[in-house]
Amino acid sequence: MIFTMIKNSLFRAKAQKFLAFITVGLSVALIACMLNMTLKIGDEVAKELRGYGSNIVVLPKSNALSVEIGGKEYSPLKNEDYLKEADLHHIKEIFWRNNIVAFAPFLDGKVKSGDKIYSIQGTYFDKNVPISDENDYKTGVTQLNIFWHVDGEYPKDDSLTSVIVGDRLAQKDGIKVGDKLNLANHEVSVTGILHGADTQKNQVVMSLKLAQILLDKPGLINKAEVSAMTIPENDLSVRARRNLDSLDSVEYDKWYCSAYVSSIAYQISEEFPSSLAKGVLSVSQTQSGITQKIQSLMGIVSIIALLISSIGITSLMSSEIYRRTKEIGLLKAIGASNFSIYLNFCLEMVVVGVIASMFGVILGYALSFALFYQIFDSFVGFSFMVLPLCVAFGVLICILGSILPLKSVIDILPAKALYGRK
Amino acid sequence: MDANKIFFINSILKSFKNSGLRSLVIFIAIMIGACVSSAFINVYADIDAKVSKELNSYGANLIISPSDFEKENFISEKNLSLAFSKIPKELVLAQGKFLFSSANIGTTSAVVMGVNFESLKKVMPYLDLQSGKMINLDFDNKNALIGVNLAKIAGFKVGDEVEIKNSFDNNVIKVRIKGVVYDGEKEDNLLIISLSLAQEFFKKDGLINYSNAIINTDFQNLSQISKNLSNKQIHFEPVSKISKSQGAILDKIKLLMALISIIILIITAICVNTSLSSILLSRLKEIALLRAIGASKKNILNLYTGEIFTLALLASIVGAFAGFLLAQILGEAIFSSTINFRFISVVVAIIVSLVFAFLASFYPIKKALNANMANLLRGE
Repeated sequence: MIFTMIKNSLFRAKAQKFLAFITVGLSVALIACMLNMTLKIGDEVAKELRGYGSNIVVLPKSNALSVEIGGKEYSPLKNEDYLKEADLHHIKEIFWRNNIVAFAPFLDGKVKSGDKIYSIQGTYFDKNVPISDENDYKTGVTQLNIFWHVDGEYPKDDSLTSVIVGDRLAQKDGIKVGDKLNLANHEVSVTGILHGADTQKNQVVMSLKLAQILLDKPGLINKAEVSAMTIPENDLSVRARRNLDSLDSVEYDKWYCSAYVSSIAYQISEEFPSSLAKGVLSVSQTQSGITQKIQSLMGIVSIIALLISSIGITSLMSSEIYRRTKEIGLLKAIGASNFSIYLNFCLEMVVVGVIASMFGVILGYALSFALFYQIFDSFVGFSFMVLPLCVAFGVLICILGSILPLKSVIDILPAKALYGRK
Repeated sequence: MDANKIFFINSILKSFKNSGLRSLVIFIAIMIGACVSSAFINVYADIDAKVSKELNSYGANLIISPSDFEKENFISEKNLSLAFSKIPKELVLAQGKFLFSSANIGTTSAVVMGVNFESLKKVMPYLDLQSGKMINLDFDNKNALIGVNLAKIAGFKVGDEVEIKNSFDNNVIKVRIKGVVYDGEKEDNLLIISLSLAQEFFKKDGLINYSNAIINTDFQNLSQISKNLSNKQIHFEPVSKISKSQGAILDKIKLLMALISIIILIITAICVNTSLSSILLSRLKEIALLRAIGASKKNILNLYTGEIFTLALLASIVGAFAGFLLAQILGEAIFSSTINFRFISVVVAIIVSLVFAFLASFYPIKKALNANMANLLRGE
């Protein structure tokens, strides 16, 4: 009996049921799309924000960074500490290795050129650094500092004859692409002018190998900079940053196993001999701030989508109930109890809700894929959580949306309902 | 005709009165549609300014240094304010000034940085306190902040009194450490005191080494400003990594908002449509009855479009203004600031709602007018 009733109410009044399907399906699609994007957007934004440069710097343990302002160096604490170039591969061999996007070593120094003194820097441009089980890994400043751009071209790694010159230095000394420079009795040619750099705008930038030769520091570097994908900071990571000893063992494990900038830096310090890695707050705070903002934006939009969907489904269901007042009157007239009427309608709504929500979720996934591809040119993954959540929500709203108007008509007198006047 | 008109208006009023709940459902549905469209238009129109302000709150985007630091290490504050007076005042969100010099503190030597503390929070918002408190007054000559590395090397902690000795003239001043700071960059190695104290102590009255600022504008504009203001003494330069990424991220966020708005709007509209259609479908009988007692198709069309138009107009006006409130909530939640009211949002919301309302009523009315009356009257 009950099946017959449900079947009939589903397959009669086709236009009405079709509308119900569309409404529930689309509402659920909207929520599924928003939810899937909200859950996945953090990683994508983190990728976008790589433009802010390296967020971790690796220094020799005993080194206090030299203070350099506008090309002038203040080094009250003279120290001659270096890291070994041969240890660089450790950076990419930590627990969070897949989050390390790029790194580059740096060796700074000053060399004489006739009566001038040039500040030089050696680094990797796009060099193969063999790491365990990834022998063809390449990294360097071209990937680390994507906001750099060069008029001309970058020197080859390990090249001993070509350099690039920072734009301010080039402007000051009138250096052009193709010029020859004499650095410490070493003839080099300028293959490009570097724009968009910070400290490098007053420097001559070259391959690390050449810098090590000019400065007589074979196999040594001053520091390495790392760009890592991180998750936004929260209370735990801030506390860890301020005082690691204040965490209890559970908190420590949680911190250690999350991709915070501070925990990634900590793990680099552990792997890289005699080094101290630390998060560069100016970059990591910006990244975390923007990521959190976008996540909260998406969160709010998801809530709005939820509200809209609820209202859409509810209004449709209530109109459906009013349309069927007569039917309810008839059911009552032939002796149905309130409970059985409720049950009947609810079951029907569950059927509609489940089928429509399924379609909706599939459509929602497709929508989020399209949106994501449009915005970030990459594919958003599936959050499988979304499916059960959205179907449950769809069914729940269908039931609630029909029970409320049902309540207002269920106590109607059969005669009144059948007579058609309320 | 007059009687007809009165009947017409009466019919509309009656239908509102008699199907109060049902009309309310339609009203709410249309209102939601209007509300969402107006809210998103308002937010979208403001998003540029809001997001760039947001991104600008992450630190300085303009660096000012001496043009030729080999000849001259200092900028005079007078020249600097002269240059800054050419930038519209409302764009300058903050300006930090810095003076550096080496000195002996306690038993080690260190670099001392003089700074205007009030702006420090804005141009270096990421400067984190390891312990103690920040200094918030420009002319606080009694207290200092110390970088975490220097604190470790020199063995100072919060509350200690530090003797700073000028290595050139053996002058001594005393400051108390109020906070230990950390940011992973050069500040970790500095002792930070107030600019006025540093200028007096190092005998550099009215001079600074470099300055930075937050200018609330985009990268292109900033580059233009920098070009115009740079001269023989002072060199202006935008921090390209921040400003450039900013443009890229802003575009992404805008695109995200736009696409989401469109999707929400379309889905809302369809939901409104389905409710409305469903309600009208359930009133087919009524229409058939009117036809049976002699109303022409045109009468019916007028009656129903009149009814829906009245409802939709009222609902969309209410919705459009409700949307402005919703925009405030969104603005508060995302940017913690208010969103400006734009009249266009109301106009667009109303037009959108009306268009959708008519689309929704088209099919049921068409069906009612063409269907077989007897069938309709008998029920489904």
